[in-house]
Amino acid sequence: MEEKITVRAQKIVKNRTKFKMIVFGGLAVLVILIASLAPYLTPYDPYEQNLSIALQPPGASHLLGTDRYGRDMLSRVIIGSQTTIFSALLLVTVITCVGGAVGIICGYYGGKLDSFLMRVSDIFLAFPGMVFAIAVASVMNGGVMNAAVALACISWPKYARITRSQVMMIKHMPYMEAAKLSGSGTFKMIGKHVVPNIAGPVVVTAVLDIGTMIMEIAGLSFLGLGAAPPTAEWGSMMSSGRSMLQTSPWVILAPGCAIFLTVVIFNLAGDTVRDVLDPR
Amino acid sequence: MESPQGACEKIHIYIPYRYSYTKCVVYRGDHKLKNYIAKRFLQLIPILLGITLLSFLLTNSGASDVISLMEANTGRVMSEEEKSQLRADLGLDKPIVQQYVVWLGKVLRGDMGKSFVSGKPVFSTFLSKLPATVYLTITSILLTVVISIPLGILSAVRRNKITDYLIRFLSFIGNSLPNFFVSLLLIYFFSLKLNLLPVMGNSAGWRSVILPTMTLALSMASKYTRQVRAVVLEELGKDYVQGARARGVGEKRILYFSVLKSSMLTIVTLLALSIGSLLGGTAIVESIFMWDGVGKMAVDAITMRDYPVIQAYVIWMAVIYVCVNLVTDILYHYLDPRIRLGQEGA
Repeated sequence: MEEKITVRAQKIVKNRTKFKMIVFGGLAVLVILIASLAPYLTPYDPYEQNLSIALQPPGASHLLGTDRYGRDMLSRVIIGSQTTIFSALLLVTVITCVGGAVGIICGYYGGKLDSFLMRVSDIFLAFPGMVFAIAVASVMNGGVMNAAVALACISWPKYARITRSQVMMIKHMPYMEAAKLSGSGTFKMIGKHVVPNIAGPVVVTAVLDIGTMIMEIAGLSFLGLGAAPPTAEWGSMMSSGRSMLQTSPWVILAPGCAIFLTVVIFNLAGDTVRDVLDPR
Repeated sequence: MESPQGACEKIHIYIPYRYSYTKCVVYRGDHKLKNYIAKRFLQLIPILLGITLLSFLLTNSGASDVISLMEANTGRVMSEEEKSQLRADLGLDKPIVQQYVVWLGKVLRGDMGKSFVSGKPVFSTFLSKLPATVYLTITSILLTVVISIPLGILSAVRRNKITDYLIRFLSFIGNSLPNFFVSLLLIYFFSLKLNLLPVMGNSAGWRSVILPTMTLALSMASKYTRQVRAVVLEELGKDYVQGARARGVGEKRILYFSVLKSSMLTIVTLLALSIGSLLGGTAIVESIFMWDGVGKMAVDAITMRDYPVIQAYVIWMAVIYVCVNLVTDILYHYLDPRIRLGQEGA
C-alpha cells in the first residue's frame, strides 16, 4: 500500500534523521577520538606487569579488573581500541578506493578490460567468507596489517561490483553526454561527473562495513592471525582469556563488550548515513 | 529479437548474487533451460581454475621455504645435499608454471600431498573431518530457518509496530556480536554456570551440538530475519495484493496463499547463498568448541604452518561453495515459473 506522505510527516522524518545523525555521528566521532587519544586516557600503563595483583575482579582501583599478568584491563581495552578501530578504518578506506577505482575503470571503459577484471573478481568472490582471509593471513605470518591485507583481498570485489553497476547506470545519462559534447576529458568526466554521482551508495556500503571489519579483524586476531600477544588488541585479549573463563570472566567480558559497543555505534552511524544519502 | 538461442524475447531479471542483486539477461522463447545450465557449467571452469591457481600461488609464495619449515616441524636437521634432494623430490626446482600443472594434475586425482605434521594424506583427512562440519552446518541452517522465517514474516506484517521494532532491535544486536564472543558467553552461562551442556568436543552426542549451533545460528538468523522481512514487505507492496484486498480477500489468506508462496523462492535462494558465510564462520566456532571438523583442522594447521592442509581446506571449501551457489542458481531458474514456462511456449 502506498503511504501518503504529507509535508508534516516528511518534516518529522527529516528532523528525526537530523537528530539521529547528531547522536550517532557524535558517538562514532567520540569513539575515534578515544582511540586517537588512547595513550593519554589510560589510568595505568597497559603493558606494565604486576603479578601480585593478577586476576583481580573489577573494583575501585581497577575498574575492569586485571588480567593474569596484573595488567589493568581498562587501560588495555582503551589502548586496544587504537589497533582495532584504526586498522578497520584504514582497511575500509583502502578497499573503497581500490574497489572503487577498479569499478569505475570497468564501468567507464567496458570491453575486454572490464570482463577480465570482473572474472578476476568472480574468482575472489568464489571463496566463502573468511576462508580465504584465514589462508592469506596464515601465509603472511600474522600481524594486524597482514590481517587487514587478508581482509582487503576478500572485500575489494564487492566495492568493484557496486561501483561498476552505479557507473553503468549513469553512463548514458544526458548530463554525461552533455559533458562529453562540451569537450570534457576523461579525467574531468570521471572526477567531476562520475565520482560525485556514484559516491552515495558506495559510501553507505563503506560506512556500514566498518563494524563488520572490526569484528573480522578481531576474529582473525582471536585465531592468532592478527596482533601478536603483547600488543593490546581486543580479539587477541579475548583469546588469551579463554582459559580463565570460569574463574575470571571479566578478562573476556571487557574486550568483548568493547567490540560489541563499537560495532553497535558504527552500525547505527552507518544506518543513519544510509538514511541521509540513500533515502527510500 | 535475435539471440544466441534463436528468435526470442529478451527480459531482465534480478537474481541474488552474494552481496546484492545482479541484473541478469534471460532469453525467453526458444531458449532452453538446458542451454543455461550448460553455460553455467562452462563458466564454472575458469572459476575453478582461478581458485586452484590462487591457492597454489598463495601457499607457494609464502611457503617458499617449505624445506626449513619441514625441518622445524620434524625437528630433524638436514644437510644441504638432503635438502636439494628433497627439493628435487618435491619438484620445487622446476619453473612455477610446470609446478602448478603437475600439482593440479595431482589435485584432480585427489592427491593433495601429505601433512607436514602428521604425515598423513591431506585429502583423506579432509574427507574424514567433513561430515562433522556438514552436520554442524545443517543444524545451524535448520535453527536459522526456524527462528528467522516466522520472525521475518511477523516483522513485515506488523511493520512499524512494537513487534517489528523489537524484532529489528534483536536482529541488530545479533548482527553486532562477533561469534567468538557469543560462543564464549554461551559456554560461560550454559556450561559453566548452569552446568547444562558439555563445554566442548563432539563426544556427548546431540547435546554437544547445541551450543555451536546456537552461536552460528544467532548471527545468521539476525541477518536473515532482515532479508525475509524485506522480501515479504516488497511482495506485500505489489499490485496483486492491493487487487486481492479490493476483491475482499482476507488479509490472512493473502499472506499465506499468495505472498508467502511467491516470496518463498527468494527466501530459500537467499538462505542457500548465505551458506558461504556459514562455511567461513565455522572455523572460529569449531576451534572454540573443539568441534572436530574441517574448520578446526584448518585453524590447527595454521598454528603449525601445515600448508598442504590449509591448501586443501581453502580449495575444497571454495569448490563446495561454488557448487552450492550453482545448484541454487539453477534451481532458482527452474522453480521460477516465469522462466520455466517461458522456455516452453511463446
